[in-house]
Amino acid sequence: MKRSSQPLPTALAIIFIISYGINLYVQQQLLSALWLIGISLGYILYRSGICFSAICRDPFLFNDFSTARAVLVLLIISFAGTFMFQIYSNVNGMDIPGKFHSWGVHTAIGGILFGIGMVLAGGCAAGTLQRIGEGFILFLIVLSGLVLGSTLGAAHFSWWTTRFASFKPLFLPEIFGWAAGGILTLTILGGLFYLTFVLEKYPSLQNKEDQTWAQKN
Amino acid sequence: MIGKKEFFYWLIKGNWPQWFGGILLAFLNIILTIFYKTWGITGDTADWGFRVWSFLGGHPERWTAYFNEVGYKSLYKHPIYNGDTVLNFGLVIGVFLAVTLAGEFRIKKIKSARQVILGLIGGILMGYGARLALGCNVGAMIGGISSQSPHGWIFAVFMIFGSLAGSLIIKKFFIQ
Amino acid sequence: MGAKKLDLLGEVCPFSLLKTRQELEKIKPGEKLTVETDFNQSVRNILKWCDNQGYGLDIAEKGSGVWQITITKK
Repeated sequence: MKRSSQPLPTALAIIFIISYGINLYVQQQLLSALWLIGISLGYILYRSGICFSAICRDPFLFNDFSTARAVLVLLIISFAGTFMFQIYSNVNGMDIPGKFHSWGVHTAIGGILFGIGMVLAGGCAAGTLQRIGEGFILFLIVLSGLVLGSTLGAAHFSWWTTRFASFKPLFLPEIFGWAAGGILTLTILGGLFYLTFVLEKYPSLQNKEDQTWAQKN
Repeated sequence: MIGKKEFFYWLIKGNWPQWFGGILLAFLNIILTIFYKTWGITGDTADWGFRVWSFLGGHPERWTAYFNEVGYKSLYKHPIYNGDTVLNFGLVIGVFLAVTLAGEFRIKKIKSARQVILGLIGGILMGYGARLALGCNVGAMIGGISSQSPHGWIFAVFMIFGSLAGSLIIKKFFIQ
Repeated sequence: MGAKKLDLLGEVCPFSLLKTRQELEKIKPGEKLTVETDFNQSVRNILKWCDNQGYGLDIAEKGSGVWQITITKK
C-alpha cells in the first residue's frame, strides 16, 4: 500500500529549509550547519520513533523496553565518542569538553519533577518540539507551560541551591582516574542494557492479562 | 540487494528501528560536542521565557545563582540568530519535513480538557525540573552521562522515580 | 461481524495504548476491535504490544496521517 507524499507541504518545507538556511549562512556559517543538524535530529527522531519520555514510562506501563534499549545504545556510543574527544582535548592541553553543572539535591528534585511532567504531558522537551512539527496543537500549550516553568525554575534556582546541598561541577575521572572512570561508566551502561532483558521477564505494574501472558511464556 | 527505489522508500516512509535512530542521534551529539556544544533543549526555552519576563518589566539578570551556572551570555544572545534556537527550530522543521515527505501530516486538534490540563501541568513541571537540574533528559541525561558528570546520573536516576510516579498517577486517575 | 470501534484521533502516548488495552479487556477472544489513530508513535506502541500478546493485527493507512488498526483478540 504505497501512498504518495503530500507534495505541496513537502515543497513548502524544502523551500523554507533552503531559504532560511541561506539566510542563516549569511548571518553566520555555524548557524547554517546547526540548522542542518537540527533538521537531521528531527528527521531521525520522527522516523525511528524514539521518544525519550518512553524510556521509563513504557517499561512501567507496558513492559516494553525497546526505547530504553535504544536510548542506552545512544548513551554508550555518545559516551564513547565524547570520552575520546575529552582525551584528545586533555592531551592537547584544552579544556575538557562536555556538559558539567553543579549537582546536589536540586538535581534530584528536578529529575523527579521532570519525570512526572513528561509522563503527564506525553512528551519530553525534545518530544514536545517533535509533536509540534507533527501538527499537534496541544503541544503548543505544553511548550508554553515549558517556557513558563523554565522561567520559574531559573528564578527559584538560588532558593534550592542555598537551602539544600549543592556541589561544584565534577568530572568523574578526576576522582577515579581516566581509565577507571571510563570503564565504570561503560560497565554501568552495559549493566543497565543487560538489566532491561532481565526486567522484561518480571512485569510489575502490569495488567493481569500481561502477567498471565508472561507466565505462559 | 535492495534497489534505489526501495532505499528511498525506506528513507521516506520506513519505520526505522529505534536502536538505529539511537546510533544516528549519538553521532550527531558527538558532532555537536566537538564543533559546538553538547545537545540541549531546555536552556533555550528558558531564555525565551527570560525575554518575555524582561519585556514585561522583570529582571531575570538578578537571578545570579542561576546565571553563574549557565553564563550570562545566554541573556544577551540574539533572539533568533543563536545556535540553540536554530537547533530547536531546525528540529521542529526536520520533523515537519519527515512527516510531509511520508504524507502523514495532519493538524491534530485538542480532544479533551484533560489533555489541556495535563499538558499545561506537565509542561510547567518539566520546565521547572529541567532548570533545577540544569538540563532536560537530553541536556542533563544524555549530555551529562556521556561527558561523565554526576549531575547526569543523578538526574537520570530520579527521572526514573518521577516517571514511575507519573505512570501511577495516570493509571490511577485517568484510566478507570 | 461488527467490529467495535475506538476513536483515538488526537490522543497521545500513553493514553492511546492504555485505552486500547482497556477496550480489549471488554471484548471476548475472537472478537475484533478497530482502532483509529493519527499518531505515528502510538501505532508502533499498539502494534508492538498487541504482537507481544499474540493478537491478530491488520493495519491500513486510511488517509494522510490516519491509521486504522484492526486487532483480533486471541
